[in-house]
Amino acid sequence: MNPIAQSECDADCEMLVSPIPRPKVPAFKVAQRAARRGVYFVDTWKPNSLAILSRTRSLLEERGISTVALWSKQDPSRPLTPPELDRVVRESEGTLVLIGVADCGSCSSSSSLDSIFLQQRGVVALPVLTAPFADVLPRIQSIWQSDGAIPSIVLEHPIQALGAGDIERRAQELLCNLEQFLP
Amino acid sequence: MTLAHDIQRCFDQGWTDGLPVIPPYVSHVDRMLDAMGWSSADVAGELKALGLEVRAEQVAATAVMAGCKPEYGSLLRALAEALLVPEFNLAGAAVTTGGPGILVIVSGPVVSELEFSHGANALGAGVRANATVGRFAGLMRTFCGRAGGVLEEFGTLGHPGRLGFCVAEHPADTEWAPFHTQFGLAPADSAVTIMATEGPNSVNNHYADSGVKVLETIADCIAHYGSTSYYWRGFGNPRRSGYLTVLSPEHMALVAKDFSRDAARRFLFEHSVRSTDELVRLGRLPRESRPEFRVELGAPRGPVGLEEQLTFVESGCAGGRFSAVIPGWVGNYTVSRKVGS
Repeated sequence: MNPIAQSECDADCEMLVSPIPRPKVPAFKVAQRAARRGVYFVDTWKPNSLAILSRTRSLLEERGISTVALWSKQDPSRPLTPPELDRVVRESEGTLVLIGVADCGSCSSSSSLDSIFLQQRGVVALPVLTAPFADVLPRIQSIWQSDGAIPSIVLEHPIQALGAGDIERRAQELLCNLEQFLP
Repeated sequence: MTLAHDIQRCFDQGWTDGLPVIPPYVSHVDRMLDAMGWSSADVAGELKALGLEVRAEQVAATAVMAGCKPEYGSLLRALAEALLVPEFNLAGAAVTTGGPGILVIVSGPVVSELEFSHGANALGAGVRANATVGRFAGLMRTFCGRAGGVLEEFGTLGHPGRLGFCVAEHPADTEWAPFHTQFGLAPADSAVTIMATEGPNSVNNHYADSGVKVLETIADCIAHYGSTSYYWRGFGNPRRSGYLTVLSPEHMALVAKDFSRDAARRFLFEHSVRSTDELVRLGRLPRESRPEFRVELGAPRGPVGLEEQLTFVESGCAGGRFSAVIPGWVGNYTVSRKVGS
Protein backbone atom coordinates (compact mmCIF):
# COMPACT_ATOMS: atom_id res chain seq x y z
CA MET A 1 0.00 0.00 0.00
CA ASN A 2 1.23 3.46 -0.84
CA PRO A 3 1.76 5.35 2.47
CA ILE A 4 0.88 8.75 1.12
CA ALA A 5 -2.38 7.48 -0.37
CA GLN A 6 -3.54 6.38 3.07
CA SER A 7 -2.72 9.58 4.89
CA GLU A 8 -5.97 11.38 4.12
CA CYS A 9 -8.11 8.91 6.03
CA ASP A 10 -6.10 8.26 9.16
CA ALA A 11 -4.27 11.50 9.87
CA ASP A 12 -6.75 12.69 12.49
CA CYS A 13 -5.73 10.59 15.43
CA GLU A 14 -2.62 8.71 14.56
CA MET A 15 0.56 8.71 16.56
CA LEU A 16 3.78 9.53 14.79
CA VAL A 17 6.63 7.05 15.23
CA SER A 18 9.99 8.63 15.97
CA PRO A 19 12.67 7.57 13.51
CA ILE A 20 15.55 8.61 15.74
CA PRO A 21 17.35 6.16 18.03
CA ARG A 22 18.85 7.67 21.17
CA PRO A 23 22.08 6.46 22.77
CA LYS A 24 21.61 4.10 25.71
CA VAL A 25 24.68 4.44 27.80
CA PRO A 26 25.27 4.08 31.53
CA ALA A 27 26.01 7.19 33.55
CA PHE A 28 29.65 7.53 34.45
CA LYS A 29 32.01 9.57 36.57
CA VAL A 30 34.49 11.97 35.07
CA ALA A 31 38.02 12.34 36.37
CA GLN A 32 39.81 15.50 35.36
CA ARG A 33 43.21 15.02 36.95
CA ALA A 34 45.61 12.16 36.46
CA ALA A 35 46.80 10.13 39.46
CA ARG A 36 50.35 9.93 38.08
CA ARG A 37 52.49 12.66 36.58
CA GLY A 38 52.84 11.15 33.15
CA VAL A 39 51.19 11.34 29.76
CA TYR A 40 49.94 8.63 27.37
CA PHE A 41 49.39 9.78 23.78
CA VAL A 42 47.09 8.25 21.17
CA ASP A 43 47.65 9.81 17.76
CA THR A 44 44.83 10.26 15.24
CA TRP A 45 46.94 9.81 12.10
CA LYS A 46 45.97 13.22 10.81
CA PRO A 47 48.88 14.93 9.04
CA ASN A 48 51.15 16.66 11.59
CA SER A 49 49.29 15.18 14.54
CA LEU A 50 52.15 12.81 15.25
CA ALA A 51 54.69 15.59 14.75
CA ILE A 52 52.91 17.79 17.31
CA LEU A 53 52.55 14.97 19.82
CA SER A 54 56.16 13.87 19.33
CA ARG A 55 57.42 17.38 19.94
CA THR A 56 55.18 17.69 23.00
CA ARG A 57 56.63 14.46 24.31
CA SER A 58 60.15 15.88 23.95
CA LEU A 59 59.14 19.04 25.77
CA LEU A 60 57.58 16.99 28.57
CA GLU A 61 60.67 14.87 28.94
CA GLU A 62 62.84 17.98 29.14
CA ARG A 63 60.73 18.87 32.17
CA GLY A 64 61.06 15.44 33.73
CA ILE A 65 57.52 14.32 32.89
CA SER A 66 57.45 10.82 31.50
CA THR A 67 55.56 9.69 28.41
CA VAL A 68 54.19 6.21 28.83
CA ALA A 69 53.38 5.62 25.16
CA LEU A 70 52.73 7.26 21.83
CA TRP A 71 51.00 5.23 19.17
CA SER A 72 48.53 5.75 16.33
CA LYS A 73 44.93 4.51 16.32
CA GLN A 74 43.91 2.29 13.41
CA ASP A 75 41.56 4.75 11.78
CA PRO A 76 41.11 8.48 12.47
CA SER A 77 37.48 8.48 11.33
CA ARG A 78 36.29 5.86 13.83
CA PRO A 79 36.41 5.42 17.59
CA LEU A 80 39.11 3.20 19.07
CA THR A 81 38.44 -0.50 18.62
CA PRO A 82 37.78 -2.63 21.75
CA PRO A 83 41.34 -4.05 21.65
CA GLU A 84 42.73 -0.53 21.37
CA LEU A 85 40.62 0.61 24.33
CA ASP A 86 41.82 -2.41 26.33
CA ARG A 87 45.39 -1.50 25.49
CA VAL A 88 45.02 2.04 26.81
CA VAL A 89 43.31 0.82 29.98
CA ARG A 90 46.04 -1.75 30.53
CA GLU A 91 49.02 0.49 29.83
CA SER A 92 48.10 4.00 30.93
CA GLU A 93 48.40 3.27 34.68
CA GLY A 94 46.92 6.44 36.09
CA THR A 95 48.61 8.84 33.69
CA LEU A 96 46.85 11.47 31.60
CA VAL A 97 45.63 10.03 28.28
CA LEU A 98 45.43 12.48 25.37
CA ILE A 99 43.73 11.50 22.10
CA GLY A 100 44.49 13.81 19.20
CA VAL A 101 45.27 15.95 17.46
CA ALA A 102 41.83 15.88 15.86
CA ASP A 103 41.32 18.51 13.20
CA CYS A 104 38.33 17.27 11.19
CA GLY A 105 34.70 16.29 11.70
CA SER A 106 34.97 12.54 11.94
CA CYS A 107 38.26 12.43 13.86
CA SER A 108 37.04 15.03 16.37
CA SER A 109 33.83 13.09 16.97
CA SER A 110 35.79 9.86 17.29
CA SER A 111 38.40 11.29 19.63
CA SER A 112 35.66 12.77 21.81
CA LEU A 113 33.86 9.42 21.97
CA ASP A 114 37.19 7.74 22.76
CA SER A 115 37.63 10.02 25.77
CA ILE A 116 34.14 9.08 27.00
CA PHE A 117 34.73 5.34 26.58
CA LEU A 118 38.01 5.60 28.47
CA GLN A 119 36.52 7.77 31.22
CA GLN A 120 33.81 5.11 31.62
CA ARG A 121 36.63 2.67 32.27
CA GLY A 122 38.23 4.91 34.86
CA VAL A 123 40.93 6.41 32.66
CA VAL A 124 41.60 10.16 32.75
CA ALA A 125 41.30 10.71 29.00
CA LEU A 126 40.81 13.97 27.12
CA PRO A 127 40.59 14.74 23.42
CA VAL A 128 42.90 17.26 21.78
CA LEU A 129 40.79 19.18 19.26
CA THR A 130 41.13 22.32 17.18
CA ALA A 131 39.02 25.44 17.42
CA PRO A 132 36.34 24.70 14.75
CA PHE A 133 35.58 21.39 16.45
CA ALA A 134 35.66 22.53 20.06
CA ASP A 135 31.92 22.03 20.61
CA VAL A 136 31.89 18.36 19.63
CA LEU A 137 32.48 16.96 23.09
CA PRO A 138 29.95 19.15 24.98
CA ARG A 139 27.27 18.19 22.44
CA ILE A 140 27.92 14.49 22.94
CA GLN A 141 27.96 14.94 26.69
CA SER A 142 24.54 16.56 26.60
CA ILE A 143 23.13 13.04 26.18
CA TRP A 144 25.89 10.81 27.60
CA GLN A 145 25.26 11.47 31.26
CA SER A 146 28.10 11.96 33.68
CA ASP A 147 28.74 13.76 36.95
CA GLY A 148 30.78 16.44 35.21
CA ALA A 149 32.14 17.62 31.93
CA ILE A 150 35.14 16.00 30.32
CA PRO A 151 37.53 18.80 29.48
CA SER A 152 39.20 19.02 26.11
CA ILE A 153 42.37 20.72 24.99
CA VAL A 154 41.74 23.00 22.03
CA LEU A 155 44.57 24.05 19.72
CA GLU A 156 44.67 26.53 16.89
CA HIS A 157 43.34 25.30 13.53
CA PRO A 158 44.63 24.06 11.09
CA ILE A 159 47.34 21.50 11.73
CA GLN A 160 47.69 19.97 8.29
CA ALA A 161 49.83 22.54 6.49
CA LEU A 162 52.33 23.67 9.10
CA GLY A 163 56.02 24.42 8.99
CA ALA A 164 58.42 23.57 11.80
CA GLY A 165 57.76 26.84 13.62
CA ASP A 166 54.00 26.30 13.70
CA ILE A 167 54.41 22.72 14.87
CA GLU A 168 56.60 23.99 17.69
CA ARG A 169 53.95 26.57 18.58
CA ARG A 170 51.16 23.96 18.66
CA ALA A 171 53.32 21.68 20.81
CA GLN A 172 54.00 24.51 23.25
CA GLU A 173 50.29 25.32 23.30
CA LEU A 174 49.48 21.69 24.11
CA LEU A 175 52.13 21.57 26.78
CA CYS A 176 50.77 24.68 28.50
CA ASN A 177 47.23 23.33 28.45
CA LEU A 178 47.89 19.82 29.71
CA GLU A 179 49.77 20.85 32.85
CA GLN A 180 46.51 21.60 34.70
CA PHE A 181 45.43 17.97 34.37
CA LEU A 182 48.57 16.54 35.97
CA PRO A 183 49.04 16.08 39.74
CA MET B 1 -5.18 18.17 12.97
CA THR B 2 -4.17 18.08 9.32
CA LEU B 3 -1.55 16.40 7.23
CA ALA B 4 0.12 19.78 6.73
CA HIS B 5 0.23 20.22 10.51
CA ASP B 6 1.90 16.83 10.94
CA ILE B 7 4.44 17.60 8.25
CA GLN B 8 5.26 20.76 10.17
CA ARG B 9 5.53 18.71 13.40
CA CYS B 10 8.16 16.59 11.69
CA PHE B 11 10.10 19.73 10.77
CA ASP B 12 9.79 20.97 14.34
CA GLN B 13 11.16 17.70 15.73
CA GLY B 14 14.11 17.73 13.35
CA TRP B 15 12.75 14.67 11.52
CA THR B 16 13.70 15.97 8.12
CA ASP B 17 16.46 16.35 5.55
CA GLY B 18 15.20 19.85 4.80
CA LEU B 19 12.37 18.67 2.57
CA PRO B 20 8.87 17.81 3.77
CA VAL B 21 8.52 14.18 4.83
CA ILE B 22 5.57 11.81 4.83
CA PRO B 23 4.53 11.83 8.52
CA PRO B 24 5.37 8.42 9.99
CA TYR B 25 1.88 7.46 11.13
CA VAL B 26 1.88 4.24 13.06
CA SER B 27 -0.42 2.46 10.61
CA HIS B 28 1.93 3.25 7.75
CA VAL B 29 4.95 2.26 9.78
CA ASP B 30 3.29 -1.06 10.63
CA ARG B 31 2.65 -1.76 6.95
CA MET B 32 6.28 -0.97 6.19
CA LEU B 33 7.46 -3.23 9.01
CA ASP B 34 5.42 -6.09 7.56
CA ALA B 35 6.89 -5.45 4.14
CA MET B 36 10.38 -5.53 5.59
CA GLY B 37 9.69 -8.79 7.43
CA TRP B 38 10.16 -7.25 10.85
CA SER B 39 7.97 -6.71 13.89
CA SER B 40 7.98 -3.50 15.88
CA ALA B 41 10.02 -5.05 18.71
CA ASP B 42 12.80 -6.25 16.43
CA VAL B 43 16.23 -4.68 16.47
CA ALA B 44 17.48 -3.81 13.00
CA GLY B 45 21.07 -3.34 14.06
CA GLU B 46 23.46 -1.86 16.55
CA LEU B 47 26.07 0.83 16.30
CA LYS B 48 27.86 -0.06 19.50
CA ALA B 49 30.48 2.63 19.16
CA LEU B 50 27.68 5.20 19.42
CA GLY B 51 25.71 3.37 22.11
CA LEU B 52 22.87 2.98 19.63
CA GLU B 53 20.40 0.18 19.20
CA VAL B 54 18.37 0.86 16.07
CA ARG B 55 14.90 -0.62 16.26
CA ALA B 56 13.15 -1.95 13.17
CA GLU B 57 10.29 0.43 13.87
CA GLN B 58 12.65 3.40 13.52
CA VAL B 59 13.94 2.07 10.21
CA ALA B 60 10.41 1.56 8.94
CA ALA B 61 9.44 5.06 10.04
CA THR B 62 12.39 6.42 8.09
CA ALA B 63 11.28 4.52 4.99
CA VAL B 64 7.77 5.93 5.26
CA MET B 65 9.13 9.44 5.73
CA ALA B 66 11.31 9.10 2.62
CA GLY B 67 8.20 8.25 0.59
CA CYS B 68 9.13 4.62 -0.08
CA LYS B 69 6.48 2.13 -1.10
CA PRO B 70 6.02 -0.98 1.04
CA GLU B 71 6.78 -2.94 -2.13
CA TYR B 72 10.40 -1.88 -1.63
CA GLY B 73 10.44 -3.67 1.76
CA SER B 74 12.92 -6.46 1.11
CA LEU B 75 15.31 -4.10 -0.67
CA LEU B 76 15.01 -1.55 2.14
CA ARG B 77 15.73 -4.21 4.74
CA ALA B 78 18.92 -5.25 2.94
CA LEU B 79 19.85 -1.60 2.58
CA ALA B 80 19.21 -0.83 6.25
CA GLU B 81 21.25 -3.82 7.36
CA ALA B 82 24.09 -2.67 5.12
CA LEU B 83 23.95 0.86 6.53
CA LEU B 84 24.19 -0.51 10.06
CA VAL B 85 27.25 -2.68 9.38
CA PRO B 86 29.83 -1.05 11.70
CA GLU B 87 32.56 -1.13 9.04
CA PHE B 88 30.42 1.08 6.81
CA ASN B 89 31.00 3.90 9.32
CA LEU B 90 27.66 5.67 9.04
CA ALA B 91 28.62 8.16 11.76
CA GLY B 92 31.85 9.08 10.06
CA ALA B 93 29.99 9.68 6.81
CA ALA B 94 27.53 11.91 8.64
CA VAL B 95 30.05 14.19 10.29
CA THR B 96 33.22 14.24 8.20
CA THR B 97 34.44 17.46 6.63
CA GLY B 98 34.42 15.53 3.33
CA GLY B 99 30.62 15.81 3.30
CA PRO B 100 29.81 12.58 1.41
CA GLY B 101 26.38 11.35 0.48
CA ILE B 102 25.34 7.71 0.73
CA LEU B 103 25.38 6.32 -2.80
CA VAL B 104 23.00 3.39 -3.24
CA ILE B 105 23.71 1.13 -6.22
CA VAL B 106 20.87 -1.23 -7.15
CA SER B 107 21.58 -4.13 -9.48
CA GLY B 108 19.99 -7.33 -10.75
CA PRO B 109 16.36 -8.27 -11.46
CA VAL B 110 15.06 -6.03 -8.65
CA VAL B 111 15.82 -3.03 -10.87
CA SER B 112 12.98 -4.00 -13.21
CA GLU B 113 10.75 -5.48 -10.52
CA LEU B 114 10.64 -2.22 -8.55
CA GLU B 115 10.78 0.04 -11.60
CA PHE B 116 14.07 1.78 -10.91
CA SER B 117 15.15 4.06 -13.71
CA HIS B 118 18.45 3.05 -15.29
CA GLY B 119 18.14 5.11 -18.45
CA ALA B 120 17.85 8.85 -18.87
CA ASN B 121 19.42 10.91 -16.08
CA ALA B 122 20.40 7.71 -14.29
CA LEU B 123 22.28 9.58 -11.55
CA GLY B 124 19.39 11.90 -10.80
CA ALA B 125 16.32 10.11 -12.03
CA GLY B 126 12.96 11.70 -11.26
CA VAL B 127 11.50 8.30 -10.55
CA ARG B 128 10.00 7.27 -7.24
CA ALA B 129 12.12 4.17 -6.63
CA ASN B 130 15.44 5.94 -7.25
CA ALA B 131 14.46 9.13 -5.45
CA THR B 132 12.94 7.61 -2.32
CA VAL B 133 15.40 4.76 -1.82
CA GLY B 134 18.28 7.20 -2.14
CA ARG B 135 16.53 9.56 0.26
CA PHE B 136 15.95 6.74 2.74
CA ALA B 137 19.70 6.13 2.93
CA GLY B 138 20.33 9.84 3.43
CA LEU B 139 17.74 10.06 6.20
CA MET B 140 19.24 6.99 7.91
CA ARG B 141 22.59 8.78 7.88
CA THR B 142 20.99 11.83 9.48
CA PHE B 143 18.89 9.98 12.07
CA CYS B 144 21.28 7.17 13.05
CA GLY B 145 24.71 8.38 11.92
CA ARG B 146 24.46 11.47 14.09
CA ALA B 147 23.82 9.22 17.07
CA GLY B 148 20.45 10.61 17.98
CA GLY B 149 21.42 14.16 17.09
CA VAL B 150 24.45 14.51 19.34
CA LEU B 151 27.08 14.50 16.61
CA GLU B 152 27.47 17.65 14.60
CA GLU B 153 27.83 17.62 10.82
CA PHE B 154 31.04 19.26 9.59
CA GLY B 155 30.88 18.70 5.83
CA THR B 156 32.81 21.64 4.41
CA LEU B 157 30.61 21.81 1.30
CA GLY B 158 28.73 18.52 1.03
CA HIS B 159 26.90 17.95 -2.25
CA PRO B 160 23.32 17.60 -3.52
CA GLY B 161 23.53 13.81 -3.31
CA ARG B 162 23.34 14.03 0.47
CA LEU B 163 19.59 14.38 -0.04
CA GLY B 164 19.47 11.16 -2.00
CA PHE B 165 21.87 9.44 -4.36
CA CYS B 166 20.83 6.23 -6.08
CA VAL B 167 21.88 4.64 -9.34
CA ALA B 168 20.45 1.47 -10.86
CA GLU B 169 22.38 -0.71 -13.25
CA HIS B 170 20.82 -1.97 -16.45
CA PRO B 171 19.13 -5.21 -15.38
CA ALA B 172 19.86 -6.94 -18.68
CA ASP B 173 22.16 -6.68 -21.68
CA THR B 174 25.14 -5.34 -19.78
CA GLU B 175 28.47 -5.85 -21.50
CA TRP B 176 30.11 -7.17 -18.34
CA ALA B 177 28.75 -9.28 -15.47
CA PRO B 178 26.35 -7.47 -13.11
CA PHE B 179 27.80 -4.84 -10.80
CA HIS B 180 27.37 -6.88 -7.62
CA THR B 181 29.59 -9.69 -8.92
CA GLN B 182 32.48 -7.36 -8.08
CA PHE B 183 31.56 -8.01 -4.45
CA GLY B 184 31.25 -11.78 -4.57
CA LEU B 185 27.51 -12.10 -5.23
CA ALA B 186 26.11 -14.38 -7.93
CA PRO B 187 25.17 -12.93 -11.33
CA ALA B 188 21.50 -13.88 -10.92
CA ASP B 189 21.17 -12.14 -7.55
CA SER B 190 19.52 -8.83 -6.87
CA ALA B 191 21.68 -6.60 -4.73
CA VAL B 192 21.99 -3.28 -3.02
CA THR B 193 25.46 -1.79 -2.51
CA ILE B 194 26.42 1.32 -0.59
CA MET B 195 29.38 3.66 -0.61
CA ALA B 196 29.85 7.04 1.04
CA THR B 197 30.83 9.26 -1.87
CA GLU B 198 31.42 12.68 -3.25
CA GLY B 199 29.22 13.86 -6.10
CA PRO B 200 29.67 12.57 -9.65
CA ASN B 201 32.33 14.03 -11.95
CA SER B 202 31.13 14.03 -15.54
CA VAL B 203 33.48 12.57 -18.15
CA ASN B 204 32.66 13.90 -21.62
CA ASN B 205 34.22 12.23 -24.65
CA HIS B 206 32.22 12.33 -27.87
CA TYR B 207 35.00 11.84 -30.41
CA ALA B 208 36.95 8.87 -29.09
CA ASP B 209 37.01 5.94 -31.47
CA SER B 210 38.37 3.36 -29.04
CA GLY B 211 37.92 2.09 -25.54
CA VAL B 212 41.49 3.05 -24.73
CA LYS B 213 40.73 6.71 -25.38
CA VAL B 214 37.59 6.56 -23.28
CA LEU B 215 39.46 4.98 -20.39
CA GLU B 216 42.33 7.45 -20.71
CA THR B 217 39.80 10.24 -20.30
CA ILE B 218 38.28 8.54 -17.26
CA ALA B 219 41.73 7.96 -15.78
CA ASP B 220 42.48 11.66 -16.15
CA CYS B 221 39.30 12.47 -14.24
CA ILE B 222 40.11 10.03 -11.43
CA ALA B 223 43.60 11.44 -11.12
CA HIS B 224 42.96 15.19 -11.28
CA TYR B 225 44.96 17.13 -8.73
CA GLY B 226 41.97 17.75 -6.51
CA SER B 227 41.06 14.06 -6.41
CA THR B 228 40.17 13.18 -2.89
CA SER B 229 42.32 10.26 -1.80
CA TYR B 230 45.90 10.98 -2.80
CA TYR B 231 47.25 10.81 0.72
CA TRP B 232 45.26 8.05 2.43
CA ARG B 233 44.67 5.89 -0.67
CA GLY B 234 42.27 3.64 1.21
CA PHE B 235 44.88 2.53 3.74
CA GLY B 236 45.77 -0.30 1.33
CA ASN B 237 42.52 -2.06 2.22
CA PRO B 238 40.57 -3.45 -0.78
CA ARG B 239 37.25 -3.04 1.05
CA ARG B 240 37.70 0.70 1.49
CA SER B 241 35.60 2.73 -0.93
CA GLY B 242 37.62 3.85 -3.92
CA TYR B 243 36.28 5.21 -7.19
CA LEU B 244 33.14 4.05 -8.98
CA THR B 245 33.01 4.61 -12.74
CA VAL B 246 29.53 4.84 -14.25
CA LEU B 247 29.82 3.79 -17.89
CA SER B 248 27.10 4.96 -20.24
CA PRO B 249 26.03 2.68 -23.12
CA GLU B 250 27.98 4.35 -25.92
CA HIS B 251 31.19 4.55 -23.91
CA MET B 252 30.61 1.01 -22.72
CA ALA B 253 30.29 -0.28 -26.27
CA LEU B 254 33.72 1.14 -27.09
CA VAL B 255 35.36 -0.01 -23.88
CA ALA B 256 33.93 -3.54 -24.09
CA LYS B 257 35.45 -4.00 -27.55
CA ASP B 258 38.93 -3.54 -26.09
CA PHE B 259 38.70 -4.61 -22.46
CA SER B 260 37.36 -7.17 -20.04
CA ARG B 261 36.31 -5.63 -16.73
CA ASP B 262 39.49 -6.81 -15.03
CA ALA B 263 41.60 -5.42 -17.84
CA ALA B 264 39.80 -2.08 -17.70
CA ARG B 265 40.35 -1.93 -13.95
CA ARG B 266 44.05 -2.62 -14.42
CA PHE B 267 44.27 0.04 -17.15
CA LEU B 268 42.64 2.67 -14.95
CA PHE B 269 44.81 1.74 -12.00
CA GLU B 270 47.95 2.16 -14.06
CA HIS B 271 46.88 5.35 -15.84
CA SER B 272 45.17 7.26 -13.01
CA VAL B 273 48.38 8.86 -11.77
CA ARG B 274 50.13 12.19 -11.41
CA SER B 275 53.66 13.22 -10.54
CA THR B 276 54.29 12.82 -6.82
CA ASP B 277 56.58 15.85 -6.90
CA GLU B 278 53.78 17.96 -8.34
CA LEU B 279 51.33 16.63 -5.74
CA VAL B 280 53.75 17.70 -3.02
CA ARG B 281 54.39 21.09 -4.66
CA LEU B 282 50.67 21.79 -4.86
CA GLY B 283 50.04 20.77 -1.27
CA ARG B 284 48.08 17.63 -2.08
CA LEU B 285 50.58 15.63 -0.06
CA PRO B 286 52.23 16.79 3.14
CA ARG B 287 55.84 17.90 2.89
CA GLU B 288 56.64 15.51 5.71
CA SER B 289 54.74 12.30 5.04
CA ARG B 290 54.53 9.33 7.33
CA PRO B 291 56.33 6.27 5.99
CA GLU B 292 53.12 4.21 5.97
CA PHE B 293 51.86 6.35 3.09
CA ARG B 294 54.83 5.52 0.88
CA VAL B 295 55.22 8.91 -0.74
CA GLU B 296 58.05 8.44 -3.24
CA LEU B 297 59.38 11.57 -4.91
CA GLY B 298 60.18 11.00 -8.56
CA ALA B 299 57.53 8.29 -8.92
CA PRO B 300 53.98 8.54 -10.22
CA ARG B 301 51.18 8.28 -7.67
CA GLY B 302 47.50 7.46 -7.99
CA PRO B 303 44.63 8.18 -5.60
CA VAL B 304 43.91 4.51 -4.92
CA GLY B 305 46.31 2.06 -3.38
CA LEU B 306 44.81 -1.11 -4.82
CA GLU B 307 43.09 -1.77 -8.12
CA GLU B 308 40.25 -3.58 -6.31
CA GLN B 309 39.13 -0.14 -5.16
CA LEU B 310 38.08 0.67 -8.73
CA THR B 311 34.63 -0.58 -9.71
CA PHE B 312 32.26 -0.16 -12.65
CA VAL B 313 28.52 0.11 -13.08
CA GLU B 314 26.68 0.24 -16.44
CA SER B 315 23.85 2.75 -16.53
CA GLY B 316 22.40 5.68 -18.42
CA CYS B 317 20.84 6.05 -21.85
CA ALA B 318 22.11 6.14 -25.40
CA GLY B 319 22.42 9.34 -27.39
CA GLY B 320 25.27 11.03 -25.56
CA ARG B 321 28.79 10.06 -24.63
CA PHE B 322 29.06 11.00 -20.99
CA SER B 323 30.29 8.73 -18.24
CA ALA B 324 30.97 9.64 -14.62
CA VAL B 325 33.51 9.09 -11.90
CA ILE B 326 32.22 8.97 -8.33
CA PRO B 327 34.96 9.24 -5.68
CA GLY B 328 34.43 7.36 -2.45
CA TRP B 329 35.14 8.69 1.03
CA VAL B 330 38.24 7.07 2.44
CA GLY B 331 36.83 6.49 5.93
CA ASN B 332 34.26 4.10 4.59
CA TYR B 333 33.96 0.47 3.44
CA THR B 334 31.78 -0.47 0.49
CA VAL B 335 29.06 -2.89 1.63
CA SER B 336 27.01 -5.05 -0.72
CA ARG B 337 23.97 -7.11 0.28
CA LYS B 338 21.79 -9.55 -1.58
CA VAL B 339 18.15 -8.48 -1.73
CA GLY B 340 15.82 -11.20 -0.41
CA SER B 341 16.99 -14.32 1.33
